[in-house]
Amino acid sequence: MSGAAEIVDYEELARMSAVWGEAAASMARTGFHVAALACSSDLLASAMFDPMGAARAEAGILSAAVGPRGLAALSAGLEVDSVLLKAVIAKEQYVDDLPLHQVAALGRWLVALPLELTLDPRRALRDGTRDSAALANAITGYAAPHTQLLLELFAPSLRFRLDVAQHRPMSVDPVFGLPLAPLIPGGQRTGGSVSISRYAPSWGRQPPPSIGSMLDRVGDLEDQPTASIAVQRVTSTGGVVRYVVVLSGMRSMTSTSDPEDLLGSGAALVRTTTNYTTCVREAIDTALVPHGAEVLLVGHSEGGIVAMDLAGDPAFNGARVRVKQVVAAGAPISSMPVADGSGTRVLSIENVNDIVTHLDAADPPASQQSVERLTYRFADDEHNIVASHDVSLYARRAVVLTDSPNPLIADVQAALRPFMGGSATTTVFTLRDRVTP
Amino acid sequence: MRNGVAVSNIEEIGLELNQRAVQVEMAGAQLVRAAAEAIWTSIAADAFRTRVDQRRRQCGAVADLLRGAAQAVFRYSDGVEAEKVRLRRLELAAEHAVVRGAVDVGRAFVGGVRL
Repeated sequence: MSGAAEIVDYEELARMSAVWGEAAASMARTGFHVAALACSSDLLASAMFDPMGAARAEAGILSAAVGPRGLAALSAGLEVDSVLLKAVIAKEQYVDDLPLHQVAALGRWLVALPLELTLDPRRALRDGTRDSAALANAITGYAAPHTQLLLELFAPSLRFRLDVAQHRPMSVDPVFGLPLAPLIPGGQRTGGSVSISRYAPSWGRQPPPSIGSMLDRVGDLEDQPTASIAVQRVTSTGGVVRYVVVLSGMRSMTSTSDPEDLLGSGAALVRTTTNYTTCVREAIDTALVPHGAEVLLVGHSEGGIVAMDLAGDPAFNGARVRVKQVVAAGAPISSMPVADGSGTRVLSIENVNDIVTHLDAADPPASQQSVERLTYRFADDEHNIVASHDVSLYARRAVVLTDSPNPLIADVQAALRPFMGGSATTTVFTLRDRVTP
Repeated sequence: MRNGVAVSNIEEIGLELNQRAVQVEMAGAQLVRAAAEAIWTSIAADAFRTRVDQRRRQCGAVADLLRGAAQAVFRYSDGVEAEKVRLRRLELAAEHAVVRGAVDVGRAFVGGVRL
């Protein structure tokens, strides 16, 4: 939930609740140990030598352990804080996000159904279908934060459940446990070509000033009539040349002549070499990016998956270019690795109510994050699958990262700075599934 | 070791209390850090951060209590040591008196026999 000057980040609250809970448990343990010291035989055995001193020491220890301002009271206070934070999160997730409008609409339809069926059965069915679809759409985002748990518990395939439990990249389907990679048609992995687009974006001569603006640029490419990616050449004031590759996401649920369709996205999720990755390689060659150049890959949705496919491929990352950083938004990449020894850093921005980020059935760790692999999660349930996944939503939420007090995010920002300053030229490429003759 | 000398079992308890005090202060600092790193701004966030500050002060107060208890334990240890030393002195004096008394009795006995 966010306003103009108000940001309430429930993932952060969950993290803080965990920290508070750990602190409460730690204080309780310490209180127990300290109280045990008061009963120590070393202390009691010598009491006959100084009974008053022993009494004072005992009283001091017990006061620190179980006194009204001692460890037990502190532990209880921290536990209360932790529970209150959990209550705030639960209220948001289960009450505030409840799709009441959609439930009410379906309820109204059910109440009016007997009458509507007699008056206009066709309209009654049409309205019912519409209201049911809206509710299903909203429920998907509502339940999205629990996708991993639900799949881990209820997916029919044992192999799939094991993959989920062990945080492995998805390799089989959740129902039959069949390997997914062979199911991808050859046309989605053996093709791919690009041509230079005539589109000259307004941001083409400006390096991206922030992570939010990088995602805005992805959004701009997604708004183009054809599947597009951009390669931006950034020359720093010191003359060092680096490249920002902007990768747009899926554009169509039906099969198209470019890789940004449902099949292309599925291929990117289960295979590292696809038409899309071939397109990116060709674009980089066409843009005359030198071997070993430092590259920043920015992608949304399928574009984020493709960025990780490339970052995980040693033939690309290390041999062709050096991917310094991946910035992925709304992409299910939690279990996707980068190439060994590449030192590539990954920043993943995920809306927990965006079902797409859960398609790999692997949630990122809530704690123990690192600057090498950092996931910034937020909760924004738009009660609509498309709206909760929209790149402009991600771009808006990424704006807060600019002034983030979180040291890991500040570190990522610092590492991105070389790609954010100087002069720039940009080439936009149009993607196709077929290979150029 | 306390101040460069070997510690008794009682002093070890005092040292442990001091160590626990440091742990509690560190836990308080960790709470402040976790709250400071959160990207969260609102009226509720400000209220929560005020509460975090209260908890940090509470951690400091508990650490002071632990250090106070440690001092009481050290004073007790010193008292026990002093009492043990005093008793040892009395014991030595008594032993000395017994030995000297025995010698005197011996001398008197030997003198009475008049060898």
